Amino acid sequence: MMKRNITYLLKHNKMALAAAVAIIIYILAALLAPVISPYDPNAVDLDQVKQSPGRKHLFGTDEKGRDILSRVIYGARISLSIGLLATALALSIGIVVGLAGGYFGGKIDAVLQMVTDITLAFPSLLLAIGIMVVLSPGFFTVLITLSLVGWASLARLVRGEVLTLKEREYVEAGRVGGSSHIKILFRHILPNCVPIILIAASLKIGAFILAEAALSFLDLGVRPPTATWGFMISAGREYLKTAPWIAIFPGLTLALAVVSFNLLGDAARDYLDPKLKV
Amino acid sequence: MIQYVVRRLLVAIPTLLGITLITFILIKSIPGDPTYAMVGERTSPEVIERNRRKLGLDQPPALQYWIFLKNISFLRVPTIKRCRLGGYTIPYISLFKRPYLGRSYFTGQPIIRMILEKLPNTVRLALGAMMIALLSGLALGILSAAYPGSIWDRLSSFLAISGISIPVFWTGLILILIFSYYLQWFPPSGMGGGALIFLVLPAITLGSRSAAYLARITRAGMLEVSSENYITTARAKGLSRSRVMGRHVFRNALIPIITLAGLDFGSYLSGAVLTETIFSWDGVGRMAMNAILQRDYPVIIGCVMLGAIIFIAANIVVDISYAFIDPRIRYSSR
Repeated sequence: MMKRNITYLLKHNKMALAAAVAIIIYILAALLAPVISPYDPNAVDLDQVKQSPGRKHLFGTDEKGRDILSRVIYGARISLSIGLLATALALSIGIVVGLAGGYFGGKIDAVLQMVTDITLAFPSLLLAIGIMVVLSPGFFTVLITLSLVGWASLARLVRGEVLTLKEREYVEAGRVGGSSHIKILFRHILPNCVPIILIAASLKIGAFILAEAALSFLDLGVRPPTATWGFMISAGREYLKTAPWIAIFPGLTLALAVVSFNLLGDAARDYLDPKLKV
Repeated sequence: MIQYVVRRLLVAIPTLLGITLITFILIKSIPGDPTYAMVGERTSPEVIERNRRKLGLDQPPALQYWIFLKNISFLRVPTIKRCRLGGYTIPYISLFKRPYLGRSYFTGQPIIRMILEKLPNTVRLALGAMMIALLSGLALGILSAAYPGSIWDRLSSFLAISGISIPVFWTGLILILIFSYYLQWFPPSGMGGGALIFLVLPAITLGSRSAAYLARITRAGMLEVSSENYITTARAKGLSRSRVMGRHVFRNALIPIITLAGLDFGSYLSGAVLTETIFSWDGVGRMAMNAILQRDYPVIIGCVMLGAIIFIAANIVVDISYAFIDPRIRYSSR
């Protein structure tokens, strides 16, 4: 059922199709990075410092003579894996909190909602900065920090959906029939939350990719010399006048990735639930 | 009305407490001795010992949190103080005190004073950004709602999705590249002693995301209101299209617009970390960035807490302003 919907959506929305193709290319590039990148992303070549884009180096080279195209391709690995994994983690927290709060109500809901509200009260980048400085920067801390910051909006969304779903007849029927709470939640309520979760997830991936880049830009992300788009842009700042390509290409790649995820999320929303405002 | 405002303020108290609790936990998790984190490393042993007692670090955690709360609060237990006025000593009841957030590792200055010094610059940048966001976002949104499906509509939705997706720090660099280095219209960085021309690029950078969201939400809101019966009535009774758009549609689409603008304004402190860094704008954001680079933990965490408090304040202001814009909210709360 879901699969047919997605093919329908892609057939009738050219922007969504383009976005989906772009995302597949990004994922392939990330997976095949060692095969397709022309150079070693970390190979310093001091004879080739700040070469402008040309036949030899399609995107040019950076201040240490490293090939920017190769670094951008490898950077996709970090950005995409953090985007996808952080979304998965944030979704798991958000779904559990949203389901529990919305379904059981009462004191559980009150406590969970308060935690949600407090998390949402921090501007997300600031809270991420605050957590990142006390943890030591690295792949897993970025992942955990982003999920800790990002779950709350998902929890609120799921809770709202559960509140309306639990009044439906089939939930009542399940309860009368003696189904356990767990069974009602996971058999009857959760499957009906799937559309809204899918939409939110695709928008969240883009947001997490942006947040990862911002943290790397602030030097609070995955440690160099590992190539990340955010850190590449930050390194390119110093050479903006003499070698603008160092900052331009990672930024373009990053923007295109986020645009693609956002377009896909928008299209999914328009198709699945036009009234929804995520 | 007053009841509504008071209730809204009371609701914020648990959230504020939660923010201070998270801040407290962050401070407690700072690597190294927390006393250094609060008073700075270059202080003498006696000062450290005094602060250790003042911060209650020899006490159990719950009590430490209470002491932390007392330190950062600007209210105090009412005490009778005396001030000397021309030879007379006049007693008065003191209700307020200066909040204490700790001192910077590096300069040894109280963090509150550091923040207050830089805050006006950030506010200036935020005001400029909000003006640009409102002007361009509303114009684009209204234009595309007035002619849905037109080339304007498509252009505006393209700009909106780009504005939401492109990282601000990259937008800033590209603006510098084009408008400062190639065209040489605007200075690339600094504040120029307050000259307005220095504000243009940073304000566009900081405001671009809000502009994009505002354009989207204005369009969506206006299209939604357009299908209401009272709009058909207004058109049917012979009002001109522009009058209906301005008087009836726009005014009724205003609530989500104000919500978004208010909340975005409240979040500019965190957006400013990136923008101010790129443009060397001497505000709280750049101070936070420098603190990050120097691992000046108390300053960073002070900025995080302040950012959250400003964000909450913006929330409250937005909620209260609803009551002014929309009479339905005002009356239902009576």
